[in-house]
Amino acid sequence: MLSRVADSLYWLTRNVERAENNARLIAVKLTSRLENANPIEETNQNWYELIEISGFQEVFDEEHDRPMDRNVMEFLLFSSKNPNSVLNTITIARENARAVREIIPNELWESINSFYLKLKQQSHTPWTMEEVSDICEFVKKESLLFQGIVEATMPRGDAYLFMEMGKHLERAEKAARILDVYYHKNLESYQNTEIVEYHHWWSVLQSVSGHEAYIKTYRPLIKSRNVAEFFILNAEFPRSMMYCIQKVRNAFVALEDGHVEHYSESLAQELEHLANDLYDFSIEEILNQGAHAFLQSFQHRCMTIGMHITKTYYLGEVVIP
Amino acid sequence: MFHSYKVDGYFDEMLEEGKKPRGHCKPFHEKLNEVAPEELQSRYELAQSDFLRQGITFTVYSDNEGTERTMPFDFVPKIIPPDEWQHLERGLMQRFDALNAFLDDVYHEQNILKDGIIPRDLVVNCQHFFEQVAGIDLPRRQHIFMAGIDLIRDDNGEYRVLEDNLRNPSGLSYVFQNRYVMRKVYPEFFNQYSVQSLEQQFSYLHSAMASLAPDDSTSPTIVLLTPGVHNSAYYDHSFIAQRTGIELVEGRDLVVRERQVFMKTARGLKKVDVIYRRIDDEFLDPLEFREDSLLGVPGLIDVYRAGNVSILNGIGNGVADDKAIYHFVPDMIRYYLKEEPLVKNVDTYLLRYDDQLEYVLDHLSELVVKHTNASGGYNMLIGPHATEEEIEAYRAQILKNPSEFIAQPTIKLSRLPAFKEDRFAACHVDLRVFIFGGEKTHVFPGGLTRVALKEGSLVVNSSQGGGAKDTWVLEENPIVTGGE
Repeated sequence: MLSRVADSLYWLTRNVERAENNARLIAVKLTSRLENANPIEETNQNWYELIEISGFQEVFDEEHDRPMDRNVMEFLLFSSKNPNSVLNTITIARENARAVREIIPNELWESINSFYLKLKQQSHTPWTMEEVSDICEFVKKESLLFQGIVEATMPRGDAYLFMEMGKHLERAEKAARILDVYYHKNLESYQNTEIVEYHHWWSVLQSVSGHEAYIKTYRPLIKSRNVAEFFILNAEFPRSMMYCIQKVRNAFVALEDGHVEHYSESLAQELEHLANDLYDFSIEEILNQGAHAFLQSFQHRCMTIGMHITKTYYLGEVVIP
Repeated sequence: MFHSYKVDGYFDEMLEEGKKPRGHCKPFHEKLNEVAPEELQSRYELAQSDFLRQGITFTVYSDNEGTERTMPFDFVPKIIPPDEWQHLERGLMQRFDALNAFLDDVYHEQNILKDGIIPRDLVVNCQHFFEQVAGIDLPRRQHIFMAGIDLIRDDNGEYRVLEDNLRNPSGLSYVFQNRYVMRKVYPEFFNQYSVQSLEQQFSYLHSAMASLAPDDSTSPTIVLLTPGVHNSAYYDHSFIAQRTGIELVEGRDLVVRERQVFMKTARGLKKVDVIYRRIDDEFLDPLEFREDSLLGVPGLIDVYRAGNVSILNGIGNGVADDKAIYHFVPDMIRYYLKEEPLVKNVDTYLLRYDDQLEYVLDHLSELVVKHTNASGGYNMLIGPHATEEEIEAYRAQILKNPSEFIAQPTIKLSRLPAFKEDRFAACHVDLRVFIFGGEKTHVFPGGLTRVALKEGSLVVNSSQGGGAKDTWVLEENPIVTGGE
């Protein structure tokens, strides 16, 4: 497979995944505002967490004085200034798909193409805050449809494996980022700390669609330690960091037929070390080093893995000597 | 739906004067009259949205950012009866073979120039004649892998060649997509017809490419070289690559090492044997042609010269589809094949000859004048539709360099009904037929029927608002019910 094609496939799924995560985060925020016992405490400042997760605070700050409902939504959903806005990520995903449409199933191309066309149209029509949750629902459904088509129609060859790596690396990194942003919230400053804490962690779990799976493991007792354990170390939940890294590693092993050659050595090692760390550490050990430090280092290691994938398979504009 | 339809002295491919359907169109015509206009309208919309959803679009560079458009599709097909097709097929194969022989000759011995059949300066001064590729022996001596020959029908319904496209003819994908949409949205129209299928054509296409590989390749690696997603014909490129199962590559995916071409895969370099390129000659290799080209591959021509890679279509084919050379194609057929041409040219004046120039300048308001280096319906004068000022401005252009122009009588392109919500309108059509070289010359049954959807307009080009129709080549004449 051409390196350029592998690159497009890898970024195709990364971007669809990114759009879906953004939509889910917005939807959860909207609901949590409705359900919170102390609505006044859900200040606009809380919107800012979403901007932090998107990773483009500076761009937002340049454009806006204060994070208000509408400007945050516009920024996260449609703004061309935000490289991670849902519309931008889907535009990139669609361009990636177009560049490899002879490789991917036609159904998959049609789904991402009509996803893009509908979203583009949506961005041109004036929308109200009431419609935002419908838009998020639409984005989530289209992304799930996309993934469903991949799972149901694509042969498990190189194309599929590059897509697997992109999707799960993106998912792992995003899980770490979500947990990181939410973990350090100063919950003690609120009144009714217990209720606030419950709602807080409940939304965090919803942000990865993990609230139902969590209850099955920990009962409806929501404790930050358990949430962290679930997010980081759960081996069965498909959006936990452990699970996603395992998937990236499996895809790599399949691509290489189980062998490690000279050219793939650094990537193999990075994946191995990260997977082992997750396996070896208990949640107490992780929290003892400090959740923030651990999550930052995890995100950094994901980026390193991304760089090694790029180098190993000559993704992107690589000059071959 | 046909009450306001006018045949009007043009050759109508469906209806005779008096609006009686021609024999082979009768069942279709009857079906059209049975379906309610609202039903036709809703299906028409379904067909257009299908093209959009599938992303079957081309890019128009009218503003800074190219916009994607679908080519409007009209569901009334051009129907070609079997005997008519057989004649056409033979005529086109003959033309193809002569053009190919001409290319091989001008890049080798140049006998046709020595024998004075074609003026030497016309060939060697042609901007598409590349000495860089002279003397190269191509596999099977095939310079043309795919030709797109544009045909029109005159007032008498006789087919004539309007243009030979021997470089990068596009539109093959639309032939298939028109058929797919037609079958999906209007299945019952096929009821009384046995239309030649297009499906097995892809395996033909693939083996034709493989047969043009350098000598020692038994199972060659074939790629399609595209300028990339922003090219207006990108859809065409990706469709052909997908259906023939070959790799779609860009210039940056290829690299030359020790007189071989390789593609950059995720597992390192892989040798390439055949390149079906959809990039113009001038952009193929910055070391030999345009230095500023980023689309091509440095060193590619050297590999071609060494016989280590096949490039389809051959480099320098433009010398044979030049608008001035066109005039001489019937002579080529006589010269190389010792046969009389079966499909005629449109009468053409070469303005390089004084007597012809004089005649043309006197009759500008009756003629169509074209610049020999322009394509796609740009920069041409359609005399009967032009204002006095436009004619004078064009006259000045011609006089600057007469040898760069040709002129043809205004051709009364034939017409076919096209759907216009509440009625059918007579719109001008032409037909691009695709012909392939390989082990033997092969004509795709049918082709791309292009239609000038703007009534009265003669311009069928997609970049200027033309649309497309399905083209049916019949296996046998339809069963006509009712008395004739």
